[in-house]
Amino acid sequence: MKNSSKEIDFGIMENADIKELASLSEKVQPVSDDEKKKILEMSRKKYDIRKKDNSELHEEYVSGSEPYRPRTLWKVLSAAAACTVLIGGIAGSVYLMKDRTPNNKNEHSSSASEPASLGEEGSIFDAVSWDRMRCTPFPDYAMIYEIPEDIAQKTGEALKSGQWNEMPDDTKLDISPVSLFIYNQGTPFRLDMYLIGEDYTSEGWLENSDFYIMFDNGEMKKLFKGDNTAKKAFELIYTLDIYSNNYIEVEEPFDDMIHKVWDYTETYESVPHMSYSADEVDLTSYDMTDTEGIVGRMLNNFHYCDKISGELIAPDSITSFQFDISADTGFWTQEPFHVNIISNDIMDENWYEIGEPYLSSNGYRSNINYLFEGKALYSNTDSALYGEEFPGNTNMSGLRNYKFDRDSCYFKADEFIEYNKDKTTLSEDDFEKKYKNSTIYNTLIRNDCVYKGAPFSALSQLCSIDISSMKVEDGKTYMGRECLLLRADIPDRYKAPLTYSQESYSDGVHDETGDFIYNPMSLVDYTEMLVDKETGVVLKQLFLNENGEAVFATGYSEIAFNENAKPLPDTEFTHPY
Amino acid sequence: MTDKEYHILFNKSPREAQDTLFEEYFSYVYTIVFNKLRSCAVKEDIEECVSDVFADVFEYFDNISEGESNIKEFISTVAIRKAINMFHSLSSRNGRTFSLEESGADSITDSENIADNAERADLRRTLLRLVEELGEPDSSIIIQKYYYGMKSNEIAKNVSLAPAAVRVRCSRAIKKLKDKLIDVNITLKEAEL
Repeated sequence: MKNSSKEIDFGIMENADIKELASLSEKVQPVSDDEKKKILEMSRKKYDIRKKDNSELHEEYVSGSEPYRPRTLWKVLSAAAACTVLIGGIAGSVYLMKDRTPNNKNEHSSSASEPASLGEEGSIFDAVSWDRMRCTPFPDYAMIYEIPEDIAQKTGEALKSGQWNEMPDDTKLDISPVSLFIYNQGTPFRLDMYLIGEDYTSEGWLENSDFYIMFDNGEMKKLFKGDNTAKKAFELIYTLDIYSNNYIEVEEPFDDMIHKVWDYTETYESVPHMSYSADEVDLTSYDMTDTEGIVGRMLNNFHYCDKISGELIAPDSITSFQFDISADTGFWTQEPFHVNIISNDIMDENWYEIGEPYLSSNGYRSNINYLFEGKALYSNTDSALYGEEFPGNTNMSGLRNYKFDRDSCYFKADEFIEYNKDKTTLSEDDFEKKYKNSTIYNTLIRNDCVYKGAPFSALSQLCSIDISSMKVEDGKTYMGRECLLLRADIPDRYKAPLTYSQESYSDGVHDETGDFIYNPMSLVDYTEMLVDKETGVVLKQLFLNENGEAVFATGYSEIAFNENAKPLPDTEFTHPY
Repeated sequence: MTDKEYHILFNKSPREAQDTLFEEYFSYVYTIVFNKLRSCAVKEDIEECVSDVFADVFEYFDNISEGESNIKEFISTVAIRKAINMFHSLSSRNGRTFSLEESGADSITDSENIADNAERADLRRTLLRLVEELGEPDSSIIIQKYYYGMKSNEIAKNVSLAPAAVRVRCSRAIKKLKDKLIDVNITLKEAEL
């Protein structure tokens, strides 16, 4: 059962006992040889100084108050790490979504045990006061939202009038719940709501889904399965634009949340909900007629994507997703249009090789970003981009402002072109020097979610090419849309080793050593992109070797740029020109 | 290594003695310091602290006559104290406050309740066991990547593989680890990866 599952991360190693640390230290070298050497030199230097002035030893030894030395780069990374609460939650939303897909339908036996009369006299819900209710869409999430009193009352009524059957403790619930906290005049309890089976956004959800609640008042924890009447409670919460409500921010650890959420009286006001269209951002100057015009439109193409849904077709799975950026309810839109993304044997490692901008913040607890409208589709550090010249905002409030200030999420083409030029021309050392102390830029790309993030920005595509080498051909058509064909070199640092080949992924890596088996086919020399002229969205991208053979590709199988457009029929994934 | 052995070596060549001691205990010290400072310090602070520990240890052995004491134990004590000191100074700068009881230098555990500690210890053991089950070099790669936060190219040097191969192995290993953890009803949080 999900509730008994424990969540950990590598932070659990903190405060390990000395034996565990000793054992760990025997197995793993924690730093590189160069760093080790550097530390030895530092130790020697200090030792030499202390030998000269012995009195310093005692001061050092007993004071315990060493000066803090700010270091810009790491400060940046720490700021990024601070985003993990947000990101954890959003990542959770992705899983929530995934779990609700038909593919993940959890077949439950409906062999309920003794019927329980939750709504009847003398039951748990009897005499409950529903006026104060708070909600979090994700477990272990700092932000807990107020539910308006009228919705809270209606939800309570639905819960009370539903028929409930108590379920065995070992019932499997493999999705994250939406949690309600009910104050109940100082006798609080928690209800974790699970909708399993048909996705709520589908027509047949009411008949084809199972609804469970886990009741927990801190003393008793019981799982119940509700009928269709009870599902009204889920619907009420699910369709609520929860993020436009006031919220509290709970400090970690997220224990005893039943009581803890009511210890907080200060609520924060959410910025009023707004929705957008691309018209709100002026992209007319980026008219797709020259390099700057093309790059600018590509960088900002996400302004055309308010609702996105589709299927990721990977070699071993199909993942459905929907994302409503304009409504930004945090839940999934009922009226999706489809952008199906077909993956031709994309593996995350492969994309990593191409998608990774050179200077990444990989490592040291810096889990970031890929944010759009204050949301993260995925979080990791490896595609992070630095650059004072290329403005961005590292702090959470700034990120959240993206949602409410579309103009603040506007990329300037000239700055990016300059950045790209540096990235292509500077040596690795010089590039690192130049950008080491720069502010971190939160990109809209990711390293292993090419599928999920791809519609949002062409930033990753533009990062991996040398823009100065770009050649443009007009007059192309793809999936009925007018396109430009862009051809550009992939700088050396991204060329190899790439394992894109006609063979399956596993053939690209040596089973024993894990090294790549180099195949001439796998050496990417340049790329071709079919870019939608209206929106700047990369509809399809090919990676080609020096013989002009496409060794890897990614693209959409269906696409439409407004809700009224009919989805285009499936297109076979073949070379379009 | 005993302090007697250290002194014999030291009399022959002080530099060689220090090199040997450093080589033998570097990972140990770094691991202790890192473990304490991981949550609040940057990498350079940790390096600073580790170098302080060794400077202290070198200095200490200059000033005492040889004996048969356990160097490892002594070094761990210095490392823990140093780490706690730095932890407090970094934390106070960040606006965190601590009770005096928490500065007990001989224990790097916080004053959490016993049951909680026991549960965490159990989870920790499970995690380490399952990481170990991945086999080498994957277990080392995972620890270096997700615990020490090292970059793929740094790890690559340590495990003598190409950076790309490290990424491949790492990606596969973390998937394997997650599956193993799920089997024992533990979820590895994605956000921390």
